[in-house]
Amino acid sequence: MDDHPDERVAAFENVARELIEPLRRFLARRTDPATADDVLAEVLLVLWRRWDQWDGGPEAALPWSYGVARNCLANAERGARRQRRLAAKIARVDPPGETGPESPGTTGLDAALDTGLEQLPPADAELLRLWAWEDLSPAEIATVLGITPNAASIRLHRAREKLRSVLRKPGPGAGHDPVNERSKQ
Amino acid sequence: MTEHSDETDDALRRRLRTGDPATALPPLDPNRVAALLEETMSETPNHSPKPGRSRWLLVGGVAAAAAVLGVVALGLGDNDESPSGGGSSTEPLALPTPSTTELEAGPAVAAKCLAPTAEAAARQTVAFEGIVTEIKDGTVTLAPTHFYAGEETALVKVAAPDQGMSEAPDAFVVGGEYIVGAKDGRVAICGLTGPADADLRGLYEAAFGK
Repeated sequence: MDDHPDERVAAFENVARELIEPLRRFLARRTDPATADDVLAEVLLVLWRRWDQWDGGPEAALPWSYGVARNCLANAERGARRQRRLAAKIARVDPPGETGPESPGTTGLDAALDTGLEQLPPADAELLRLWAWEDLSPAEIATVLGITPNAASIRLHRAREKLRSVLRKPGPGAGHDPVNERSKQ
Repeated sequence: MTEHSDETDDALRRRLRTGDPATALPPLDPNRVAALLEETMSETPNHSPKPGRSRWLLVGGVAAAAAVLGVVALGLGDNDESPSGGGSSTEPLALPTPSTTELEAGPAVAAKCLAPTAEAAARQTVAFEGIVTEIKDGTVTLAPTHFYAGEETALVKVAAPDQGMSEAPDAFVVGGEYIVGAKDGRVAICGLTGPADADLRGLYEAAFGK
């Protein structure tokens, strides 16, 4: 309580400045650029509002902010889905061109890996992304997902095993044909 | 095709990173960063942490409001497993309403069950592996980690049966991992629901694939 409001503001600014780039990457990996911009502003605002209650160290701020970003993104996408449903109703009357958000998810650089990730349950794929792309430890992943570090460790271990198992299957993209997707060799 | 077969964790992580779609993202213009921070901090004073509304409603609209209500309605179930690593007083913020599958525990069974089979597993319309996150008022909440069958939801709740189950799966324990099968909204017993072990997993994998 001995902090001056000015100091608290400065402290937030320092932390938030460091969070912006990782948050931008987090969002860029998971949504389209326009949504990423909107959600980034939203995340910062939530962090700012909660800043007084934040008692973790600066190093813990990142997983905390990822957790906030995850929730904000889920909300934004929920709203977007609702809008798409509405748009779909309208489109039955007056069909426009094809629309739909592009998922950045894959790069096509490693087709087997992309396919492997697609074949995993979404929760497992997300764990692996948090681990590899965000470079988080199981304890940090636990903070992001709101689960215990133990559960995060177990799930991560299992997700890695599942991915290895999928990758071990012979043939590029074979093994389990994704029935629903185009199957490009 | 075996070059990647038995990758170490580090190798797997490196390989995953090659597919990171954000590697080419250029840093934000410093002026934009400054503007963003200024905009953020001018919105609400940080020492009056009202559950902020203005922006939420602008961005998320009804969805955000519904999500907030959802948190209340769900009794903050996830918070019981609050992250121990990062700030004990920070609850997960603005949690979206998790999609939930609701099941009833299976009926009372007096007789002994036959050994479970993959065919019996294949008859389940919902089958998943998950971790128990909460047991409250006779309802077990699980966070699924993998669905073998059924619509994938963020949570599954198993309500207590009306009567005692003589062959109830060994008491669910918070933090324990289980495989649960269900048909017609009822959890299967007789060996088709239980702690996640290789045998039970094998049955479901045989029934549904991985």
